[in-house]
Amino acid sequence: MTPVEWLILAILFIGVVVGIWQYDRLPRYAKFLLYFFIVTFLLEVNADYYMTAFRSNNLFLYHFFIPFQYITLALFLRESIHTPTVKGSINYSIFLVIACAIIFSGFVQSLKEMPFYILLLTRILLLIWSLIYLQQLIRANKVEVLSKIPAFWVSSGILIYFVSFFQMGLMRYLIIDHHQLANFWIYIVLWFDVAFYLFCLFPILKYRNNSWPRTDERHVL
Amino acid sequence: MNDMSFDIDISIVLILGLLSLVVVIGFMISFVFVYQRRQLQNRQEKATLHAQHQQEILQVQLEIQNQTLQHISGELHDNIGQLMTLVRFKLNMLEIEETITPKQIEEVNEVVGKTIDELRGLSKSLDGDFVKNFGLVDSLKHLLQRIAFTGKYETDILIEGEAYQLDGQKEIVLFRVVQEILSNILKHAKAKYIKVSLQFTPAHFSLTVQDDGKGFDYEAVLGREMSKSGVGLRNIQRRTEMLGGTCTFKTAQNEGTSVHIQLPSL
Repeated sequence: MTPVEWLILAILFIGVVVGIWQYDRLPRYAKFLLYFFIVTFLLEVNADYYMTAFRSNNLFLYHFFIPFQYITLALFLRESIHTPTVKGSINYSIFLVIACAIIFSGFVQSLKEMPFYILLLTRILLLIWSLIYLQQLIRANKVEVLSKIPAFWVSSGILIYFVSFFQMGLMRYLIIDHHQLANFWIYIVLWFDVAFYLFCLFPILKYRNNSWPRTDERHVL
Repeated sequence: MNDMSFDIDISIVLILGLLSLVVVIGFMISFVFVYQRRQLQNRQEKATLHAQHQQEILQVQLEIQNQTLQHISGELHDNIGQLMTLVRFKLNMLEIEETITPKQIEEVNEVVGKTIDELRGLSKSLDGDFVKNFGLVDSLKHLLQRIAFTGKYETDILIEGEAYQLDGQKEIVLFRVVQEILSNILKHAKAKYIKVSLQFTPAHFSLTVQDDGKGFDYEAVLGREMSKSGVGLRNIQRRTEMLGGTCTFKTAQNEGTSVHIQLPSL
């Protein structure tokens, strides 16, 4: 494991521990963020364990965990977005992702391959919900310091998350003919993930100090 | 040739990779910039609204002060002044009388007593603490009793729902509004019957003042110039709006008047 991977695990671990420690005090939408940390931590720990202990293919874990990652983040954004039609769309998108995950993993992509189709679908959907949330934030007629809005951090993180997927696509292209550069590229992509997890961790850590509002209701349109 | 094409491919990949990052960073910087600008606008709008609100409050306070002074002046002239003139007249009569009977003294005493009652009533009606201490319902009951005491009007108060206390300031402003409505009825309506209804529900509080007087042309009165008339109506509406409520008038010539005020309960 590289130092960056250890760093990612450490960030996820902090998120899980702090989130569980503060569970009762977390507002509903922050709880979804905690579930995301739990799901991702389980995924990364298992993936690293498989890779280190058995030296075997661990990509089947991603087939299983990616829909859960999407569900938790989508529910988080659903709590922060206040337009009823968008909320409804997010609900439907969860069923869509589950159905697509079953179809792609069962019939289209082998469990030994990275589930790129479902990754692409979930990250595009998350990007859409994040952009809608950011638009809502711009339109809201409230006086609010941007850095104190938890969903702003997560939405910004999701933008980076999306770009990291784009980088992964480029890395796949590189891996065919230029293995060394691909390795370097994946190292950079991991830093994107570090940034994303830090952006998501930030709101949970802030709740620990109880200095942020317990709900995001003030961002109603 | 193949190497060269591979190098170009690599360059394209690197450029695309970096470009995507630049796009996201650029987007976030622009977002923060636009958000800050919107925030500045919102702050300015809020500050303007706050200043307007403060100015309105100040204006209403001045109007209330002015009306209170007019009310004192009217009460002193029309009621207490009259009673004191009567006392003076009776005392002058006693001066020229050779013998003073206990009945004559009792008559003077009675008028002085009435004057004292009037002064007490006036004092209570002016005292905002009276509304604070006894609540809106009791203050309104007292106000209506005073009107009924003149013998010229029949008054009634009807309370629906379980009474609760509104915010202290709201109660005082509402009491002043009702005073203004009643004052208008006494001055202009030529009514014989006045009814005040209060309705307490969990969602809202409503108050209706009805009379069987001659009514008026609402649009015409409201359309008059501020200096002539219609100021009272506007004041009633504005003060109600200031409390976050609504005020509606139902009236027509010779059909009495009904003023309905509704406020949110919290």
